[in-house]
Amino acid sequence: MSTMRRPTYLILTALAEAPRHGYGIIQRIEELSESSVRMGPGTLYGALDRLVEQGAVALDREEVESGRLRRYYRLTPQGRTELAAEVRRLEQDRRVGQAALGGAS
Amino acid sequence: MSRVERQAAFLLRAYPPVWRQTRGEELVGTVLDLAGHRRRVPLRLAADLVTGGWRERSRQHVGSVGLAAAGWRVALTVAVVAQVAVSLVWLRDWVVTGTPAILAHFMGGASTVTYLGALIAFVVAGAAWLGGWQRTARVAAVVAVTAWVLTTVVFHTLSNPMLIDWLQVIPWTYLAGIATLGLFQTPPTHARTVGAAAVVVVVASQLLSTGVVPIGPVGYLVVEEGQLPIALLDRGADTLHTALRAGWLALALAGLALVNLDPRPAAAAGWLLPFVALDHLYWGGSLGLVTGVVAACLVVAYALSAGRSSRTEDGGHLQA
Repeated sequence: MSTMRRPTYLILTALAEAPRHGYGIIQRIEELSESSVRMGPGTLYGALDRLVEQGAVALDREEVESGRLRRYYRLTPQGRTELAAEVRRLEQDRRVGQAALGGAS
Repeated sequence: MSRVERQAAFLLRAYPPVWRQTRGEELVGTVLDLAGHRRRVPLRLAADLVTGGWRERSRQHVGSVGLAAAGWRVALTVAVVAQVAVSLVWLRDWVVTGTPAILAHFMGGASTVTYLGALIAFVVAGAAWLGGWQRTARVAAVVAVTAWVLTTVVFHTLSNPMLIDWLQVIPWTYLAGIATLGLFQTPPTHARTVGAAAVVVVVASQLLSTGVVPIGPVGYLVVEEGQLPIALLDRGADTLHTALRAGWLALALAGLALVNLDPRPAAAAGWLLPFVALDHLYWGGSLGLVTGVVAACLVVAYALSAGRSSRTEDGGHLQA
């Protein structure tokens, strides 16, 4: 099973909570990563395009706020399944690592 | 329009036109949000936009094949073109002076063994393929390419007939790859035909280089220039178009700059001047720098040419 890249993981996690527009996704990713990941829009929209193509993310709605076009994206059932699988994998890795550290002490 | 908005719109030009029409407004809005009260787009943000635009152009142009693979295909095709052009200069000398352009010397050692092994394996692969023994053809093709790579990578410091000059290494390796891929292809017939033709040209040309098969200027012309139609057939008119737009200019500019390092080419090369200059530079041992610069120019030009065509392929895994 291929490993999900961290930016992808964070995008899906941000969208799992609620549909968001691009700026909202970037802000939420920064919060989730405690400012360790600061994604730019060039990176984000490229990732969103591919996630939409792969069916993990879909366009939710369009709005105009303060004269700016905002497109909101949501996580699809497929995206939710992929994210859940990745969470399980990370949790398993965490348990293995913690056991190794605990066993070495 | 604010200054930040003007800068964002300018940076957006890194993206393909079609992408700008559908997503540009959304992207600019996000940039304005991120810029906040700043009077200009932050440098990190600007770099991210340019990088994103480049990636989008390459993605639209080559799909999941990747920019590097596409760029190298173009670069290799141009290398073939350059080698063909240089060989024309040699051929002219041959016809005028009566002196064969290539002097062949067999040198002893492991490089000759792997080199001959590659040639023999290519012949076996081609014959097996023609005879319908597909497994034998594929095994022989793998052996041939492996021996070929060994000869070029491992033994490149030794003199041997295949490496008369570095300019030939790149196109011959390219043709070897085409030959192998062609032998591995199931239909369409086009790819298999190109592969088989590449096998013939590779083997015949290298036998020419060794001097084992005596051949006059006409034969030399056919064999050496036979690389070009194969390279063009491999990629078709698209490669020629892109190469002419991007690689030719880069190669010509590199040659014109290099001619100042060696006055000899200026006297006789005429319109082939850039290629002769490049060949002399190769002899001088600056292959790595020249090839890297030229290849980089080709990759940049190829990426920038995206947006006028789009080929998409299935990317596979959930990755972004």
